[in-house]
Amino acid sequence: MLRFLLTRAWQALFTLWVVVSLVFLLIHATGDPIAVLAPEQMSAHSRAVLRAALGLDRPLAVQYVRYLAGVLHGNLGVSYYSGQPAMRLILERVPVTLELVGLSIGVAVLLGVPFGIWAAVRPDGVADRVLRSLSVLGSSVPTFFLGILLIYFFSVAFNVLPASGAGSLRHYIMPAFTLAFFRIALFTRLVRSTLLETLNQNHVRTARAKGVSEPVVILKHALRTALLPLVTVFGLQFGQLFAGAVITETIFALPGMNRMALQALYRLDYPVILAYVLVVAAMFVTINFLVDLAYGLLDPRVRHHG
Amino acid sequence: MPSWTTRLLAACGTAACLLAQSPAAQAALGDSAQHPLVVAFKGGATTLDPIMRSETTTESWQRNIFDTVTILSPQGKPVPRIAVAWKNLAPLSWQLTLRAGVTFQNGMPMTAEDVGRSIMDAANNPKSQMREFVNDVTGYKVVNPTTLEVTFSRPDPLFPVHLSAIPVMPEALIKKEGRAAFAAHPIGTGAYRFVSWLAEDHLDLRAWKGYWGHPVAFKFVRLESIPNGATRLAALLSGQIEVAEKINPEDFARVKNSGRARITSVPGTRTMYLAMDDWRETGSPGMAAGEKNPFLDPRVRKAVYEAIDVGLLREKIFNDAATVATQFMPPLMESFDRGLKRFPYSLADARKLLAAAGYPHGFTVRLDATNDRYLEDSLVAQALAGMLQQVGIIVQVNAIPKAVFFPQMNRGDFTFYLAGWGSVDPLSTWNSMFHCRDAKLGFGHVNREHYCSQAADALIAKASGSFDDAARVKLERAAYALADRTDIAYIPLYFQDEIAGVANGVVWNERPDGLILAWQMQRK
Repeated sequence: MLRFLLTRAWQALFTLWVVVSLVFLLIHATGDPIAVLAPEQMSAHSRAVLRAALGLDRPLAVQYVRYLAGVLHGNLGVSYYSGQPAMRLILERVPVTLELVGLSIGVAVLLGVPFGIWAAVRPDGVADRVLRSLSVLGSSVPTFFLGILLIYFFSVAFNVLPASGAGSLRHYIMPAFTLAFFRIALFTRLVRSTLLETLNQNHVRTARAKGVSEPVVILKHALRTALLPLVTVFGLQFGQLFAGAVITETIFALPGMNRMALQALYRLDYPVILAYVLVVAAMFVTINFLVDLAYGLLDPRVRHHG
Repeated sequence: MPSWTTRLLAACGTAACLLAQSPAAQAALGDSAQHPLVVAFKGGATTLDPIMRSETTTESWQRNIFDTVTILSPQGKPVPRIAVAWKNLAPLSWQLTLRAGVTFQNGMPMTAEDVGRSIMDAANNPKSQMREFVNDVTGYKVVNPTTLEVTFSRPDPLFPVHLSAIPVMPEALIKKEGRAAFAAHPIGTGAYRFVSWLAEDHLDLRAWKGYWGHPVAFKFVRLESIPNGATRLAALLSGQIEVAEKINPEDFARVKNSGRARITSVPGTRTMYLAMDDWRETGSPGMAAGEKNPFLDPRVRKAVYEAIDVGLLREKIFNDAATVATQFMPPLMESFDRGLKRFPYSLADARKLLAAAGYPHGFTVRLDATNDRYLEDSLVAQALAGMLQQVGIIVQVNAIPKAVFFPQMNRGDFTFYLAGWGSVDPLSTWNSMFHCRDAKLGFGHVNREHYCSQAADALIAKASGSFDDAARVKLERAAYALADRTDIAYIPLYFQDEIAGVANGVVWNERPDGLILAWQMQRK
């Protein structure tokens, strides 16, 4: 187990180094932050002074080495715009994003898994057909459209939910549902198809032959096997949502880290972009690790070979 | 904000239900932290250090906490804030009389030393974005506790206007705790004191009891960012917020018909213009290889000018919330000449001019524009292409993000482009945008077109040393007449309006400088 953890940690560090270096080079190739940062009235002289003050007048190699040295000391630099530490700007916005993602994944699992089971119990039954057409709808409605539609009904027409902000749980209802909508459909379809597959497997047939009641067969014997692919997709979706909630954060004016990162990207605020990339990469590495662990718990074969 | 349950209870409409309303819901707007006056912006302040960012939203947020030395009236004249009077002693010296009895929000009295050092900070801090306003200041002398003498390397007749950008900061405190700590908990002399904030998301403010000016109408104020236009509008119409800036022109009718809010708009200080390469004979980017640059011929420039129906842009794209530019300088500037009119829109005349210039069938050119910087920018570029096609000029629109656009523009990579310029005053605009390029003296640093008129430069040089307002304005007008009318250095199109939606309970009229200041808002 210890060797497993060490290998994993080493791989994670290597991954983070590659990601940071790639992003560093890519963003420095895209443009000049001073061109966006300096007000248009600023003279050439003042621009040069500003460039030097931010260390952007150094050769790229020097900037890269300095940056890596800073990262190793836990210092990711300050934002060109706010003067605040870049990592703090991202980290203080992580809770909002985590809450949003956690809530929507929770909703998606709590609705999607039962829907999937319900549909799988009687394939081609009424429930199955209704849920299948709903899931097509769920995977094809774009996020921004659904978000605006919800705001129109629940904020303007009925005036029961706030259109923006992150002050209370009520603020998260519409954004979480907006993000969850597609995932409900996804989990429904996934659970339905894997469950249908496992229901024909030997161990399920054995259980039925032993005279185990149908609910127990489905929930205990079949579902446990069917959950394996779900865990993978769950991990992927969590990562994707964590780094991809930007449209939802923008529409509902939630102060999440993705909105911050998008602003930083528009403005070429390099330190903030890099801090964001590090956080997201670290998050993905952690999720992958947790998914591997979960596999071990659910499937003894993985545990013994791992 | 009334809670969900209170709203539901209120909706049921019976007397019993109404009695159940919580006290918070009955408190008047802006009287409690639970029910603040909320102003929503498209963006948010990136920093609360008041010299680090010269950008309207950031300044709007900051200037509820900080006072500037002067402020601009709706007519563009500098009027007293911290300075109550100013006098020009010699070409290189201004005397400021300061308001007595002003205190900072930490209880420290504001001194002349604070004002002097704030000006020097703005001028010298390497990251200061206010440098251009006070570039020529060399030092200051405290004459007595309310008199400050400021010295210059070059005459600055518009110093009182420039002081409207200079915030007064508690310099002793900044020296003690450092700029970063100061920016995290800003202290100024303004009407509101800092409560808490999240950069670019929201800023909570509370009226400050020791404020020297009129007591504010709303004690609790929240400034927040709602980036999406539809959400901002929904929040205004549902009563969640009181003021929403930058309402899209197509939504004006919805605001007006809602019965809950109205639209306020005023011509701003941003000139939207078309720029044309004035120096490359051939090889202009965006022209076919080897083709001659048609814009070197003044007749072509005038033809393009006359082929554009700005009134139509104003009506169709901006729903009348833009002001047709009769000259490059916006109405707020001292040199603005009310008597001027645009060259009349005339396709026939434009075709004649093109034929005389040797382009009877027009030519093909690329028009570069942003798609995320100015209100409806890419739409305007498309409309311009359609208009110019009527006189045979085939325009290929290249609308790109600002992060890509501006570096290219600054390198001079464009032949024909749509951009905006925010004017501070006619002299600095001339020296940046119109003056013959001179890297050594710092003239024409954004004159990417290489426009050059020595005669006009001489007029501006004379105006720059003139402390006689009438004489200076006359010189400025003469210079701009040369650039605007004779040479057509740029084609001014329209002044972007400053627009906001305001809920019925609040009195607020947009300011030409675009600042939204909670301390100037009133109750209705």
